[in-house]
Amino acid sequence: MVTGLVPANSPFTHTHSSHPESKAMNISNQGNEARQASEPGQVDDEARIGQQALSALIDGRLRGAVFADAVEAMHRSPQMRADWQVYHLVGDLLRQGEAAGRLPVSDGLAARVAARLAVEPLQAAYGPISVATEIEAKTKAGIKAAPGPWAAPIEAAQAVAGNPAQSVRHAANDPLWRWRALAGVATLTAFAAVGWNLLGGAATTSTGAVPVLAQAEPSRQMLRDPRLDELLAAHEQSAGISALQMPAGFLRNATFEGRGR
Amino acid sequence: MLVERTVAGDQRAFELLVIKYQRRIQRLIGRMVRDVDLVEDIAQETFIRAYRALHQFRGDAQFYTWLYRIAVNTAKKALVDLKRNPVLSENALRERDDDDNETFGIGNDLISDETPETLYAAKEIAETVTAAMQDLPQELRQALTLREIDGLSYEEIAEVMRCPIGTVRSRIFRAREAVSTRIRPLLENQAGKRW
Repeated sequence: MVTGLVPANSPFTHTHSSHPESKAMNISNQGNEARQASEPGQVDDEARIGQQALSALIDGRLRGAVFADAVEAMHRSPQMRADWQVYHLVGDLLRQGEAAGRLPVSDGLAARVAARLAVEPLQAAYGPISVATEIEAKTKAGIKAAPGPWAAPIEAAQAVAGNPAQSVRHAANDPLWRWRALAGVATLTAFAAVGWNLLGGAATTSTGAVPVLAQAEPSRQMLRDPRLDELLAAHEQSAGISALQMPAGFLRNATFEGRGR
Repeated sequence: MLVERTVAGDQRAFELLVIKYQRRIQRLIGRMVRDVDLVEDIAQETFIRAYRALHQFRGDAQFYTWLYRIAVNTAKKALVDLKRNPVLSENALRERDDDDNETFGIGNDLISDETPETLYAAKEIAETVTAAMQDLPQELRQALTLREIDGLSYEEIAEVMRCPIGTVRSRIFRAREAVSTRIRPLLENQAGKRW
């Protein structure tokens, strides 16, 4: 019996005697003449331990790392996959008799299915589950995930206030809400800029005069960022209100660039 | 567990599910379609659809029951497509009395690739399994019968046989391996005949 390629610390090797599942599956040598040989016997022991785990896997008895090892071992070992198929055939024959064995089964079906699945995009296959996994991976990597629709106003306000996002969730219409969140931030930024000009202009005045309302001067050039147009258009389409729950109609997507810039 | 692992993204676990259920699925489809190549194509499409829909499997029913429904629907769609095709092979379809009948009995009709030799081979394998079971020690035969035919869990078998669960696991494995050892040479002899 060909032994499958398994890692040294796997319960599928007879040397891994400390693993509880390995101990449980370490069957005796009684009545097996093949085991009496030294090297062939060792190979047979390993194969039998792997086959016993295979039998347990058929019955859904493996869990955790042992289960993962079994799946991995069968992926690497054609012999174990063949044993998997034969064990299932035995069960089918016991339950249905001759009829179970009448229809020939193509050995290549599983391989053809695997080949087609290999080119299946994971998101198309699994939808939100896969994207959630992606968000989780990004979160672990320190990349902030896009907030969900219920979090957009809160997230935007917290971002302005400097507080980290409290929740990371995913929605199927995530890109739309991402734009909406950015629109809210842009609205707040524009509002803050106007407010800064109204309140903070005196700090930059060299004469120390009383702050006055900033007025557009001929030397100042009004710049319009086309992206702001797009963001605000998306924002207006969504709800017509800003992240601060205030009408945003009076805000204009304009910025002033001073002489020094 | 294999279903859960597949949903988690391990396609290799799904490959094991395919190997596990391909015989039953192909036999199911074979009751509707005669052509063996078409049976395989429909079976392949069934597993592809199952993979794509696996995240919708809620686990409230047996996986095979869920897979069964997909296979039936896939086969029905294939049959509809075949009937629309003017170049239709009559040998590809089986005659059915009731198109709405979803319960299929065990068919005894020949499929296109079956020959008396393959029928004899199937009979020989079935008889070998029966003989192997009779040659097993009583405790091994009982353990495997309770598991494969009666569908008892290891815990239930341990209670029936009044032995530890580890002993149940060992006995089932030894019985499986003993029976498999008897039929492997027959399967290898049939390897050229699509076994």
